[in-house]
Order: sequence, then structure tokens, then C-alpha cells
Amino acid sequence: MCGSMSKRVEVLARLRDAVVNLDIDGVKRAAREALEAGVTPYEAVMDGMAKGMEVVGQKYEAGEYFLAELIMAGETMKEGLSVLEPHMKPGDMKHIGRVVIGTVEGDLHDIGKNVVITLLTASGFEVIDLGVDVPAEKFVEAVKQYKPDIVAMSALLTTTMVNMAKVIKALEQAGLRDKVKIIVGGAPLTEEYAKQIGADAYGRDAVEGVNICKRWVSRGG
Amino acid sequence: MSVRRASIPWRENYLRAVESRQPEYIPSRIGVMWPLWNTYRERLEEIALRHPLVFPGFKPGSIKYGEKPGVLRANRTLVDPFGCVWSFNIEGFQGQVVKHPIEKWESFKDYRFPDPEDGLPAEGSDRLTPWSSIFEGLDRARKEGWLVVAGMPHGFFFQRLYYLRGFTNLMMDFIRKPPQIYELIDMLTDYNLKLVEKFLDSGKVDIFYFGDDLGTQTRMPISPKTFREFIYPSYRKIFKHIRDRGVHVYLHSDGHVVEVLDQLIEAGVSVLNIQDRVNGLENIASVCKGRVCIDLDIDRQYLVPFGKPEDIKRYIKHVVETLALKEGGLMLEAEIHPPTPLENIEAVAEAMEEYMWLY
Repeated sequence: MCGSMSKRVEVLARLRDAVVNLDIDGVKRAAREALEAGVTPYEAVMDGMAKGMEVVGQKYEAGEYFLAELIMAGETMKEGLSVLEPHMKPGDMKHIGRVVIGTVEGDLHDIGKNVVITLLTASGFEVIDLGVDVPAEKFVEAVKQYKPDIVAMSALLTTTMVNMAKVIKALEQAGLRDKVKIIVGGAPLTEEYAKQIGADAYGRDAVEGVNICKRWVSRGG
Repeated sequence: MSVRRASIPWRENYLRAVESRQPEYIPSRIGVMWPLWNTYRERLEEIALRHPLVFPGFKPGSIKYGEKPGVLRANRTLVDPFGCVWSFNIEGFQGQVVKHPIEKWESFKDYRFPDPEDGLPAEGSDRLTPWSSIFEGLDRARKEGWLVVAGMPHGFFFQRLYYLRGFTNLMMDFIRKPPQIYELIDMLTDYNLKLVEKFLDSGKVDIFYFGDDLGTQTRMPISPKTFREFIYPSYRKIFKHIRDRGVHVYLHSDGHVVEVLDQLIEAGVSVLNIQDRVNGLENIASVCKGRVCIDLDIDRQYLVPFGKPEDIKRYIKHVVETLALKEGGLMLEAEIHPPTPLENIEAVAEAMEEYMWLY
């Protein structure tokens, strides 16, 4: 391996490790070193930090990391991005897919949704966050406007999860249902319920949900 | 079905269950969320009247209904006495904190908790209830022979920390460990201890009720190690102070908490109100049965709202067979949310009234 190649491998590993080790102070230094070594910002994100997020996801699934660590890893990645982004030219960052996400009407809970957004972004998705208490029409408008690959919906309450079915129905009525994949998640949701309302998938937790989204876009929908 | 009558007062039976002194029956109760009361109204009142043991103290006319039946939208915000901004969008449901007073540590140096002498806070309320009014309620319970409950605010600790800091910030605090988080925890512990002291000074109290949702659906948001470092010491300090005075501690938590059940028991909890499905009946039995009184929150997310009445009855029987001991240590609770059908509420009531006598 030539010198510049090994330096590249080394700085990318440092970026990956900063995310895995939740080293929010070290990640900026690692990002600067990557730029100095001639690594492009896009490579630094996808081959460095995003690889770290994959390891973080695995540690979460193995029960070694918890939500706190997932969040910290996401924030660590954001910190690294703050160094890399000013060096990116428009179009440098190639997204792997686009997701419109929101907590459905009647529901104000956003902790789960925000973790999903962090992980989706870290995985290279462009995310359009519609926020909380989002009525069906707003989902429809967003699908028309942004033409996403995926619509993701969250609900914490049995009272409000029934509104997910309204969103799917509204997308059907607008002739948009076949244009998107739909994933649902949240405390009272089940695989069975997701099927019953016509969603394409149910994410048991944020990591599983994001893995499903990644599989969808890698298969081309 | 005729209603079986208890031969001992409700309070005595409750305390026997908590203290494993052979209660006559398993204390069981149904708590219906207001939007469902507002949906079913008189039809639900009839069920409550037919099942007085599981709707203890229910009086017709005690529920105030909205202008029209059903789940009603709300649209209001308020600032609580801690400076947290709350938003509400469904009548009868708790709101969410949308603005946090110590989101940045710069705000912490001037931050003050409410004065414990001014009254008792309640989650999602903009005012403190004056102690005179709280003490009147306790005196009434004492005179009428009801359980004397010191009702501490839901979200008294872990949740209050993220109401103050914001969830993301708090999770990062647990990993980055800035000195301010330890200081904030100490302040919140002292604040709670002062509220506890006010109750204890008021006369005989049977039990303190605490609520703090510690779990998510599938696991804890923080590791048991993080819980041990940041939350357990304060729980232990507060609960021990109460238990040393011969008073019981009831702790409610939503979510999966299996990994910290031992810590909660160790901290001094007498009654643990936890959800069945997210924790697993077998896990609850193996860690808690015979060690702490379990107040089991019956599957409010799946079976009760969406199941069949016969499955609900079968399940409640199974719960009792799995967790009950003749000496006590078990209670049942069903918190019922929309869109639960009326016949499922009746099924819960009938099953509770039937199986509460099983031992």
C-alpha cells in the first residue's frame, strides 16, 4: 500500500472510530485530518463516519449500546459534518434516497422519530421532517412536492396510530400509494397492524427501521 | 353475575397485598382515559357501577364531559412552574414539553426550582397545588378510612431531567458527564426530598406514589450502568428516606425496564407498577415475584384495545396464575385508551372481579 493510500485508510479509520467511540471532541480533529490528507468530504462521510454509524447500529442490536449512545453517535457525526460541509460543492453529497417522515395527527411524541431521522441522515438519506401532529393531507402534499422514495410514520398511542391508516388511504386516493414505500413504527405498532393498514413494513426500533429503508433503496425500491 | 363483597375494608386489603399479609383478594382497578369516558359516557358509567370493586370510589356524575362525545382536539400551551413549555393537542391526554428551560447550560447558573413551600407541582400543570388543599385531601382520606396516598408528581425525576434539558441533551449528558448534570441531579433530589418531607410532616401516610417513565417499548433508553450512576442514587436516597419512616413507596414506570428491576427493588420500592407485555410476564415473575409487590399494568397497547373479550378474560386468568401468591404481592391495573370497545372494558372488569378471588 503506498503512503498516501495508507494515510487515507488511517484517517478514514480515525473518523469511523470517533463515531463508534462517541468521541465528539475528537471527530472534528479527525475530519480536519481527513481533508488535509486529500480525502474528499463525501468519502469522509460515507467511508468514514457512516461506517462508524453502521458499527454503532450493530452494537445497539447486540445490546451493548442504548438509545443514549445512538443519539450521541448521531451528534458526533453532525459535529464531524460541520467541518466537512463547508468544503462540499453543490451536488457533492449523493443521497441514497429520500424519506418524508412525521408523527401522525393527534400525536406530539417525537423522540423516536428524531432518532430515526438521525440514523437515516447518517446512512445517507435526505430526510424531510414534517414534525409532529401531521394530518394526512400534509403527508400527501409532501409526497407530491418532494417525490420521496419512502414515507415513514410514527405514533406512540393507540388513540393516534389509527391515523396511519388515514394517511395510507389518502395517498391511495391521490394516486400516490404506488410511488412510495411506507414504513410505520412506534410503541403500540406491530407487524400485523402494519400489514392490516397496508403499510409495506414495520420497524420494531429505529435501527431496524433504517435497515429496512436501506434495503429498499439498494434494491431500487 | 352477582358482585362478591369483601369482608375487610379496601385499604386494609390493599396494605395486606403490599405487605404480603394474605389479602382477601387481589386489589384490581380500571382507569379509563378521559377521551373514552367522553366517548361512551352513561354506558361506561353503568359498567363502572356494576363493577364497584374495580372502579373503587366511582360516583355517577363525577366525570365532566366535553361539549360533544369522542376524542376531542385541544390546542393549548402552558408554562409549568419549572419553566418547561407544554403543548397539548388531545383533551384528557398528557401534553409534551416543547421548550426546555435548561436546554443550554448557560441558563443553568440562574436557574431556580419552584419553592417547595409554595405547593406541589403536577406534570403538565401550570400551577402548584397549595399544601393546605393537599393536606385537606389527606385528612379526608384518613377520616373516611381510605388509603392515605402522598401523590408525588408523575415524571418526578428522570423525565423531569429531560423536561428541563431536552431528551437529546440529557442522553448526551449521560455520556459526556459535564459537572452541571451532577449538580442538577443533586438539586432535583433535594427538591423531591423537600416535597416528601412536607407530606411526612402532615401526619400518617400509607404510601407515596411516584411515576417516572423509564423505558421505551423494547428496552431502556440508557444502560443499566448509566441508570446506576445517574438515577439510582437519587431514587435510593428519596425512597430510603420514606421507607425509614415506615411508609411504602409505589413506583410507576411505562416501558421496558427489565434490566433495572433489581435496582428499583434495591432502591426501596414496595410496589412496582409496570407494563406486562413490554417487560414479559415471565421476566416479571422471575425477578419480582415474592420480592416486591407487583401492580401489573394489563396490556393496554394490544390485547385490551384490539383483542377479543374471551382472550382478555383468558389472559387475566393466566396473569393471576403466573404472578399471584397466597400471601399477596400482586395487584392488577388496566389503563384503558381509545379505541378500546365497550365490550372489552366490560371483559376486563368481569375478569378482574372473577380472578381477583382466585387465591
